[in-house]
Amino acid sequence: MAKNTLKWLALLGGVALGTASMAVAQDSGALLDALVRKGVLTDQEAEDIRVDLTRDFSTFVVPGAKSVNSLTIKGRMQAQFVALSTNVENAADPVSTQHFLLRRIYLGTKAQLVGDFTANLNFDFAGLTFDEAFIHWGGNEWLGTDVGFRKAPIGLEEWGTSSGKLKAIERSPVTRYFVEGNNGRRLGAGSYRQGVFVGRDAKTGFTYTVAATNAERDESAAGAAATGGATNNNFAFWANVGYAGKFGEEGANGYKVGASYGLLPDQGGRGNTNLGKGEDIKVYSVYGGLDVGSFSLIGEFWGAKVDSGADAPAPAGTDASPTGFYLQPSYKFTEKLEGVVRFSYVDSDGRGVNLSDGVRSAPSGGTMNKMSELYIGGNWYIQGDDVKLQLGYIAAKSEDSVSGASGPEAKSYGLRAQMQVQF
Amino acid sequence: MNKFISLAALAAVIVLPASAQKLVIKGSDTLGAKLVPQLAEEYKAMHPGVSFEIAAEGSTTGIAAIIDGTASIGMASRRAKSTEVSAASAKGVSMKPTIVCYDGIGVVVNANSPIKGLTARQVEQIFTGDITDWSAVGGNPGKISVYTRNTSSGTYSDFKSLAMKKRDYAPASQKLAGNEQIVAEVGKNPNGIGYVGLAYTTEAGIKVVSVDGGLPNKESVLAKKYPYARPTFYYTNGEPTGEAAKFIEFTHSEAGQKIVEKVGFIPTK
Repeated sequence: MAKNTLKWLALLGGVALGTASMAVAQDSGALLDALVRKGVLTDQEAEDIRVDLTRDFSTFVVPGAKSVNSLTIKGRMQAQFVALSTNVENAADPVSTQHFLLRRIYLGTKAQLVGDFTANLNFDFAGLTFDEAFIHWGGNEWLGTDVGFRKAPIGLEEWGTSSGKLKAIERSPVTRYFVEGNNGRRLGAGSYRQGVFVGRDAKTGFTYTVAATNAERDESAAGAAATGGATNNNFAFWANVGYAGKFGEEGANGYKVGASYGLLPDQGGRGNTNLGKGEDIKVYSVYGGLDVGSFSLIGEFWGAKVDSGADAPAPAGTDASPTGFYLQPSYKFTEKLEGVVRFSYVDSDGRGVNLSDGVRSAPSGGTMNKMSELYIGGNWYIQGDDVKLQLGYIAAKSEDSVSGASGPEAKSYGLRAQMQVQF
Repeated sequence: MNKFISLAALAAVIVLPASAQKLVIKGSDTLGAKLVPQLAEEYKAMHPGVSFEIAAEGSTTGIAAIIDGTASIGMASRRAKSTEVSAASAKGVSMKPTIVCYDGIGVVVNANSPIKGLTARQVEQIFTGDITDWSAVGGNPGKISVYTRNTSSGTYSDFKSLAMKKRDYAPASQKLAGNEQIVAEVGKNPNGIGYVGLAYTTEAGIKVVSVDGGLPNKESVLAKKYPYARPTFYYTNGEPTGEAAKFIEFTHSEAGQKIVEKVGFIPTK
C-alpha cells in the first residue's frame, strides 16, 4: 500500500512538472532519489517503483504476430524551399520556381522476426509512393536476400547513399539523368524496382549485390501490384561490387571504391513508346569516396548505351551513349557545420537533356545535348542527420542541340534550402 | 518383479540427471566476467545438481534474453530502458530488477601517466572528443586514445548518462568488448584512457584517476558522492522463482556478499 502511494506520489511529481506520461518514470527519478536519500525508501524499493512507473505509464506498440522480436517505427520529413529561374538564349524564359514543398514524408516500419527474417515497409506520403517494401533474410552474411520492392543496386549516390544523408540536398544531375523515370530523355535505368536482391552489406570490406528485377521503374501503388505486359516482360539484371576500408591512426580515415552494371532488355529506344521492341539499355557506373579527417570527397562516372536512343532529328535507329560524372568535395569546419561543393556534367550523346531532368524543380530550358551544374552549399547538423538544415546555391547550364550543333544555351540558377527531421 | 525393479532402477538413472537444474544467466560483462561465475562456483559446491550457463556479452543482451525468455536471469549494469520495459510488457514479460551490488565506474589511465585527477567536465570533454591532447589537462603532450565499451554494454550507456551528459562518444574512440580488454589496451598505451567497473580498477598496468577529487570506493559509492556510482542488477520475469530465486537469495546472503566484496564490488549490506 505504501509502495503504491509512493508510486502515485512520484507520478504526481512528474505531472506537476508538466511532463507527459511517457516521461513520468524518468522525471520521477529525482524524486525517488530524494526519497532514498532521506531514508523513506530503500534502493531496491526505488528500483521497483521506477520499473513499475515505466511499465504503467508508457505506451507501446503491440506487434501483430507472435514471432516478432522487435518492431521499429521510422520516419523522415524534408521540407524544401526552392527558388530557381531559367534564362533561355534567344527565346522567352519559362516561369520561375519559387515555392515551399514537402520533398519527402516517409513513414515506415521494420519488423524483425524469428529465423532472421525482416519485413521492411516505407511509404512516402509526399508522393503517395512506396520507398521500400521488401522481405529480408539475413541468415547468411554473404547471401543476405531481399524479395520485394526497393532501389536497384546501381551507383554510389543512388544505391549507396540514403536521401537522408545527401550533402547537396538532391542527388546530382548525372545520377538523376541516368536513374530517374524514363521521360524520353532520362534513361530510367535505376531507382525503384521489384525483384530479388542478393548480397553482402557491410561498412567495411567487400560488399556486393546482384539483382533480377522487373524491367520497369514504378513506385506507385498501382505499379507495385501490376502484372506487367508486352513492354516489360523481360527482367532487368543488376550488379554492384564495392570495397571499403579504413586507414590512418586508429582507423579514423576511410575510403571506398566500387562499380555497378545494369542490363535492361527491351527498355531502350527513344521515349516510352518503343519499349518491348528489342531495344536494350546497358548502364554502368564506377565510383569512389575518401574521408580524411574533416575532408570528404566522392566522385562517380556514369555511362550507358541506349539502343536507338537518340532524339528524333538523328537518323532512325541511332544509338545514344550518354556519359556523365560528378565530383563532390566537402569539409567539416566544426562538428556541426559543413561546406559542400559539387560539379556535375552530362553529355546525352544526342538523346537530349533538359535542365529540369537534372536539377529538380528547375524551369525547363528546352531539350539540349549537354548539361552541367555547380552546387555550392552548407549544412548545419543540429543533431547529426536527424535534425539538419541545408542551404545551397545552384548554377546549371544546358547547351548544344541534340544533333550536335553548338549554339543554343539555357541557364538555371537559384537557391534550394531543406530542413530535415528523421526518427 | 525383478524385471520391474530393473526398469525402475534404469528409470531412476535416466531421470535423476535429467532433473538436474541448469540456470541460464546472460548479460553484463561487468557482472558476468568475474562476480557471477564465482558466485556460481560457490553455489554449485552447495547444490551439486545445479549447472550454469553464463554468457557475459553486455547488459542489453541480458535484458533481451529475459524478454525473449532465453535466460532465467539477465545481468545488467544499467537500468532497463523504458523501451525495453515496454517491449517486455508487450510480450507479457514483467521486468523485475533486483539489486546485486553497487559499482563505481572508475576512469583509468596508463599506470605511467602523470595524470592523477580530472574534473568531471574534463572527463566529459575527453570522452566526447572536445579535448584530444593530454597537454590540455596537464599531461605530457600526446594524442589521447579513448577506449570505451561497445554499444550493448550497460557501462557504455551508464557512462554516457553519468559522465557525458548523454553526448556522443568521440568518433575516434575505440569500442571494446569488455572491462578486461579496456584494462589491457590502456595498460599498454601510455596515452590511453578508459573506464571500467570497480572490480577491475586494481589490475596491473592501469591506475584510477580521481574525478572532482573523489575516487570510487565503498564510502563514496554508498554515500552516492562519487559521480559515477550505480547499482547493478539481476533482471527476471516477475518475482524470481525456483532455482533462480535460490541463486538470487544466495547472492544476497552473507556468503554471497562476501564474494561480492572479494571480487571488488560493494555489497548491498
